[in-house]
Amino acid sequence: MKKKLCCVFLLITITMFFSGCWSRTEPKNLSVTNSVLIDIKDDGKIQLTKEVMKPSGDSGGKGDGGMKNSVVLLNCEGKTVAEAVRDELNGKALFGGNLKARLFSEKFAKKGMMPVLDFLSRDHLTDETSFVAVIKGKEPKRVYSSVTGMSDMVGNYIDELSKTQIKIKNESVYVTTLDFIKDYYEDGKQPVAGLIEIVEDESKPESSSQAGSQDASEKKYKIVYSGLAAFKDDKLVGYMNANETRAYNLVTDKIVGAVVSLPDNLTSGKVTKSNSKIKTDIENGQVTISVNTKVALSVIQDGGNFDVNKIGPLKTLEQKFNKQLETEIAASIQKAQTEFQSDIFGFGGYVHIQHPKEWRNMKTNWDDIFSKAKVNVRVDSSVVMSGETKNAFDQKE
Amino acid sequence: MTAKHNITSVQLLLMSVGSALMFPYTFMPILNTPPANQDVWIVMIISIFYIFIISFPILILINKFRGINLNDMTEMILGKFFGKVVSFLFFAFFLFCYTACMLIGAIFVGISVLPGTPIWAVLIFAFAAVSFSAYKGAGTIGRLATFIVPFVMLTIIVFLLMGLGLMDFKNLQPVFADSTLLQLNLGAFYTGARYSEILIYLVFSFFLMKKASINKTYAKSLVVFFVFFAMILIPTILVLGISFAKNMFNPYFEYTGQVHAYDFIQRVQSINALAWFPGLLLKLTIYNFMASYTLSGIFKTKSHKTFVIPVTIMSFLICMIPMMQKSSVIMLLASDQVFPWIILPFTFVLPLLLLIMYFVRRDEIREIMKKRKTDAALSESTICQATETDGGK
Repeated sequence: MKKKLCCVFLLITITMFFSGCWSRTEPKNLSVTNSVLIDIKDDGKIQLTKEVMKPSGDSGGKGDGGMKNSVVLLNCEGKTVAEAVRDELNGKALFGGNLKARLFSEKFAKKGMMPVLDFLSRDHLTDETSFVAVIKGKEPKRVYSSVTGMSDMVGNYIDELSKTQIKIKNESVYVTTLDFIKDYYEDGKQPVAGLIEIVEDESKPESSSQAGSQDASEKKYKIVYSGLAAFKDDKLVGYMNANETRAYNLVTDKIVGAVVSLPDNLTSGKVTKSNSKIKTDIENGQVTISVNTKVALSVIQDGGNFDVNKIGPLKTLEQKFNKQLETEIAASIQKAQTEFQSDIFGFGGYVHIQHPKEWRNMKTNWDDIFSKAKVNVRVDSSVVMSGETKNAFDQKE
Repeated sequence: MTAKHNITSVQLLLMSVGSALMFPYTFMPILNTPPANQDVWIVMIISIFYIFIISFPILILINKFRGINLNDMTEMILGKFFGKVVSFLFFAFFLFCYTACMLIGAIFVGISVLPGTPIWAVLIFAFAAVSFSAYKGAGTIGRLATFIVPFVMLTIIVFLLMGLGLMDFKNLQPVFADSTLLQLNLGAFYTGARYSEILIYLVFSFFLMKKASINKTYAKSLVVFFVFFAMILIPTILVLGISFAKNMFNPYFEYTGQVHAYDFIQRVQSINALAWFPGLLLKLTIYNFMASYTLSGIFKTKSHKTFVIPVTIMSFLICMIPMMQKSSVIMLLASDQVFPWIILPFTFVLPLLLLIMYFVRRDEIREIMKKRKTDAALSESTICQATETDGGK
């Protein structure tokens, strides 16, 4: 009996100690970060702008979709990223588990991402699923005063774009922190990141109430998420525009639903499927890269130049698409070779797989070899669908 | 000496699989073993061959000394004094494994799961649970394995299926191109040498049901282990890439952090920790039991229970040495330069010497075993007679 009583007493005592975690933090005491902008000052100090959710729940107020009310921007700085992260805690524990985007200023990205990557890999609270993007220009902080579509926060906006934009036009890349780190580690592939441009928003607010307290004369900005930022090791080396990025996505098999228009500006095709085969040859130290891309297209707009229901004109249309895409892909690869001298396409990985012996000698200076490599591009497109109409609108019978 | 329990072959299989899976589940040393490239899965396959070779002496000994525990076996082969010395060496090894696994686990908790919690708190919590289950004996540990290990296996399957969309099969290429046969074999040797679960058979076979075949159970446990090992290793490489994965302290935990499906299955990494912690406790329980059981055999006490707490205290004190809590020390301890070379003498060298001595003194040992059997039969019949007499009264 005594033993049983002792056990019961012990169990009750233990439950008192196990009622909570050792280092618990209540959600109300958390600073839930949605996105973070990492910049570097002229004196070399790291500057962080954290977009933190305002927990009071008074979002949806006036202004840009209530953004100003649901978000708190915390500015902090330190000698290192780790120091800067811990600089301004707003009286609450920082929580990065819900971080959607890591944004980097052009200046910081050019200096090198290595310190951040090291911090992100080491810290247990950082999450590698958030997107990485570079903000072009000298005023990266404008991202937080820009219109973010229907979203209330920049991080959420980019997250939503990654689900919608990628399906309708493949002119950007959505690179997670893990993808970036992986590419940084791997031989034969250089990392890329998303690209953000802050441009003036010329659209006027529909009514004065929507403008809120903003001064009507005050300039408004919007976020354009298009193109890509190319890196060599951990340093930013340049940008690719929308068309070049679409070509990049075609070569790296990341196409989901790109739209390709012919130079006549009347005919557009939607890429429904694509597959790129990359073959590499090495002869006397000269590397030749052959990119063979097969594309399945649907005609989504026809200006009347092609009768897409007949085999003959369809062939001509396909040849035009081939030429268009071949030019785009070749230009994109050439830019990586000459301007960036960085193999962002990952051709080195194919050389490694196809010529492992030669790769051992090449891997240390692959980017130099890549910049001198001969590149052949061939696109084989096939128009498989032509929409719900038979003839173009101007071809009335 | 502890009374003989009956554990089933399935329980023994699950105990050894659960214990073995904890290494890849925690820090996946195979990624840094030569050739440390995309061919590690080949290393894993070749290591099965090495494990069989390494386990061979113990398997023969277990079969030859079926129904006899480790202490009696060593004393029969080497005589009382040297038998006790060898048993003590095994005890020291079990204590080392117990402490090393605890330290690796505590460091993992400290780095990835609960960095705010002091290590002593983690140790006390783990040691309390481990001591209790080790105290309860082999039968309880067997039953514990039937609950914990299937759950661990289930999480591995779930993470594999949910990570399929993230996998890039190019990460396994080129095959055989960057590694030499020597590197592959060296890696397989190190991986095989790390496998100490044959010692679970050495201790727990004494408690195994008589009808169960040890060889079959061991072979099955190896097959099950390697299937699940592959299900941990290959997805990790396919998702993280070999270069990044081998730089991580806990690559599988990192992999599970990436796994998500649609918008509603997110942040499932916690399931990994949820399966890992009981799995580690099971492994620690097994080693605590083996250490205290061997010690009780040396001192010929009635039960292993006397030594459960002292073993735990010893291990706790070692873990509390400040130097032992440095992650650099743990990394060195877990590296190929140290860990396999500590395990190998106990899984292969010492058992091989015992086996040689057994063959040298075979006739003598047979006589001792015969005598033991006769004594056992006699005492059994005496007990039966006593029971009958008691019943008559």
